[in-house]
Amino acid sequence: MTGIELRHVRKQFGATVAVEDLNLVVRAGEFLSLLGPSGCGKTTTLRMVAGLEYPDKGDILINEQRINDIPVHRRNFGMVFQDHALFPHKTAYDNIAFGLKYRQVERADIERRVRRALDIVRLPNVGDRLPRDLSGGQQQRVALARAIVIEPDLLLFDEPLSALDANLREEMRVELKRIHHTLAITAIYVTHDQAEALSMSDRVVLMRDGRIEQQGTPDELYRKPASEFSARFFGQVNDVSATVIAAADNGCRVKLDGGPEVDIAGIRANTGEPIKLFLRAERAQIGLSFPNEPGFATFEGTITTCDYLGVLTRYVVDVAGVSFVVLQSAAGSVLRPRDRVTVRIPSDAWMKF
Amino acid sequence: MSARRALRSLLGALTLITYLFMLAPALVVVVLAFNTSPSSTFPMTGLTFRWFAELAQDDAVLGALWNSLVLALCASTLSTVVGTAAALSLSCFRFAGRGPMQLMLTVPILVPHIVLGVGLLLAFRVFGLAKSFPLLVIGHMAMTLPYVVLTTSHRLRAIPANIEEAARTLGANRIQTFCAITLPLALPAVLASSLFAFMSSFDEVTATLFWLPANMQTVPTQIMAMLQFSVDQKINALAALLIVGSVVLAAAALALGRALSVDEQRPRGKRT
Amino acid sequence: MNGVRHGNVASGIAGDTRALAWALVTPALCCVVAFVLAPILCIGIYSFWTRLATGAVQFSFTLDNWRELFGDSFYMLILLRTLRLAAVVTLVCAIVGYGPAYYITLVSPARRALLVILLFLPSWISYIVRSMSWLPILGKEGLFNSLLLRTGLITEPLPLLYNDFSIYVGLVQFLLPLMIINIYIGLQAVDRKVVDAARTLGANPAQAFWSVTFPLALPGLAAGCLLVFILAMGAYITPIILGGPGTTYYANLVFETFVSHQDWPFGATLSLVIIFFLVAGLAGYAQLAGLSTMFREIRR
Repeated sequence: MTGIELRHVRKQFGATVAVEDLNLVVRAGEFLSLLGPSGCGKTTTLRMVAGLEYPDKGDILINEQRINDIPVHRRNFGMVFQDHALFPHKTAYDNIAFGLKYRQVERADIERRVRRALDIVRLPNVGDRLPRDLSGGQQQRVALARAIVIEPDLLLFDEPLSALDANLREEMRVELKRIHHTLAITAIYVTHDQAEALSMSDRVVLMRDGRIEQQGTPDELYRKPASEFSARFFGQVNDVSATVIAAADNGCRVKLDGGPEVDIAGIRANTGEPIKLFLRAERAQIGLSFPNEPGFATFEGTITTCDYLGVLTRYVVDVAGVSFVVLQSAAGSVLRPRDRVTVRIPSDAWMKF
Repeated sequence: MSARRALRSLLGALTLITYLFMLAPALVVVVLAFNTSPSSTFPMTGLTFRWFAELAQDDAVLGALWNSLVLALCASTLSTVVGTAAALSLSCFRFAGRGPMQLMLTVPILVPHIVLGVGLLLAFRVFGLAKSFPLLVIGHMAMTLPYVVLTTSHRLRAIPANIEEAARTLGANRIQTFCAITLPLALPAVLASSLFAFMSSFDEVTATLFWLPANMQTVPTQIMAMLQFSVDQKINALAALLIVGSVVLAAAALALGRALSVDEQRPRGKRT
Repeated sequence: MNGVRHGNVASGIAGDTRALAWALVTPALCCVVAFVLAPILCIGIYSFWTRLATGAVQFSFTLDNWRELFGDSFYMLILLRTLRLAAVVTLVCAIVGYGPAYYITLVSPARRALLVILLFLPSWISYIVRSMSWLPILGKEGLFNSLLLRTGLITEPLPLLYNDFSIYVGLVQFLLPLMIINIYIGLQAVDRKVVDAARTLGANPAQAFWSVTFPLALPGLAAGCLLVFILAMGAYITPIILGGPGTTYYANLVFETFVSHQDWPFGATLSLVIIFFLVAGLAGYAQLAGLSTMFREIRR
């Protein structure tokens, strides 16, 4: 198994800097996602790893060997493209066998390996079909088989599921993870879909404007965002201005602007300092009443809007002039606009950047 | 709603009449070529192959046919090779000046053939070159080149770049990728456009009249010459043959164009 | 279109791609320069050279050719007749062609494919054959006259052939497919959703067409008109085959001047006028829609 490292990599297209001073280590066997909004440089990074783009600056290394100057076709990286990129004039079988023809594999061996690849992607019977006779999901499976049959050192995915519809995407997500597990191969996965990245990856690299914003396990990214951008990328976030009225070693007490006072755990600040606090919408709870417990702040408020989202309901609650967005399970919900409710917020749920 | 449907039917009828107007006269010529009457008039008097048989005996026509075939074959081969190379360059590479170059290579389509004819004739004169068959070939090549460039580069651009990239990630180098992927996908368009170049060269008359060496005729100029005297049935027979040949070639080009289609491919998405 | 491919030059791995790109395009470029552009330049040069009484051409600057062109009412008359011909043919093609072009956008994909193929079919058939196909139709004993005589609508054959009428008919038939193709390409570029949006905003079908579809499809119509006008102006074969006494048009004049009179400088001057109209038309089109939209492809 092979890991890969990028050191001080930079890439510019015309006047736009796509990737700036990027440092990244992908460990052997790891499933790593490059996540970010469009234009953040994630695909360019992947294409530089593949050898389809040449970095303006910096090095790409495998086992401490610089590979910048190794052309695409000698890198032995399998790549799955966004819109499958199957060869339209070749059958599924010939598509998969394509890479083996350039690797001096014997004919009988080719046959065996193609069949096995088709088995791995669970499409044993479509070998003689042309891409246009396959469904969208089948096309993407064949593309995956084509990429893994060459036994690549690294598997690269460029938003492979974005062209599929929602149900198929879910199914393929599970498939991809299973196959990655079966093959035990290093994989880099580019996506703009945070759910995809969180559910599949060992590690997620969040990118913004050509740089790494934050990297870590899915759990770290979700629980300990390093910036407002990171926090907002994984769901809805409330932001509240406040003033510190008392400081302690393990937290502080603040007065929300125009609202109540709350105790906050884990954030250090100086007394009198104005600060901006963030709160994930799903960390707050609302109800008609809550028992008084330590470690929670409760305030009275009025529901102004409520949007039914299926599994969850989104409430906007007005607390003495401060609006809070609260995401809460919809089960058994009887709350309506203008209802008086209690908002409960764990004191460790607040974030500051 | 019914007013809309009526309007649509009206448009349909208009379309039918327009298409008849564009295509039916050629059909009349084909039918008439089998008429027994020696002058091409209506009504038909009977069916015969006589005019085709007479045509086969006419040395002037056969000579012109041979000239036209050789001319069209040479010109279309040259313009296919040169034009395909240019189309490859214009659609597979991005380099400064590509846009203006594409325009420059296609804009000659708009120049009337009389101007092309006059221009090249004068250019020959400036360089002291006498009219000759090779110069005729050159003229026809220049005239058909833009069509080859246009059709082939449209086709090449329809091949998504990531198909070639996929081939390269799988281990094919640039040349192997070109041979295994790009060429097979572009070939039908190349062949179709070379057929069109062949037919245009074969049929060209206006500029050819300026460039033709003395004592030489091509099929169209031969028809011109024959028309000076009378509209006899041999001309109709020849015209009928030309029409049938054109339709056959057009059908072949169409079949080629459909043989390998990459239209199912979605164009590649935005790079981020 | 640019979204589909981005260049393969991006990598420094093959730094010689630029050289390859130029090597591939250079032969074609040379052909166009040497056999189309340079000859047009020759026309320009020739029109300022002197023709001696002996018929020889002397390489000395003169404006005589231009004086002759603008001074002689005969040439001006033919030029004006030809411009009228080109204008009328363009107008007729645009009016007659718009309906069918629009109809093609309405029908099912299979029928659309057929109609588009049939549009391209005429361009495969010889110009001369298409022109002469009117002879047995419009002649004294032709299809039309024999039909009309038999129905008793007329007692004498109508003079349909060897006059301006047959020339106009022949040219419209020759150029109509090109007009329809271009209008259709223009219509195809109009996003169907924009028209639907106009309808939801309260425009009736006619209003939606005139305020949205027509202006957005205008480049196609303009390209068709430019093409038809220029080709009609330079049409030589149609007047020769379908015309009669006194139906000389501009291209015939050019041909006569070259071939019969051997007056090369004056012939060049006459040809330059056509080029002038072509360049003016192209400039107008560039203003309207940009030259890059001129040669768009038909989508399947």
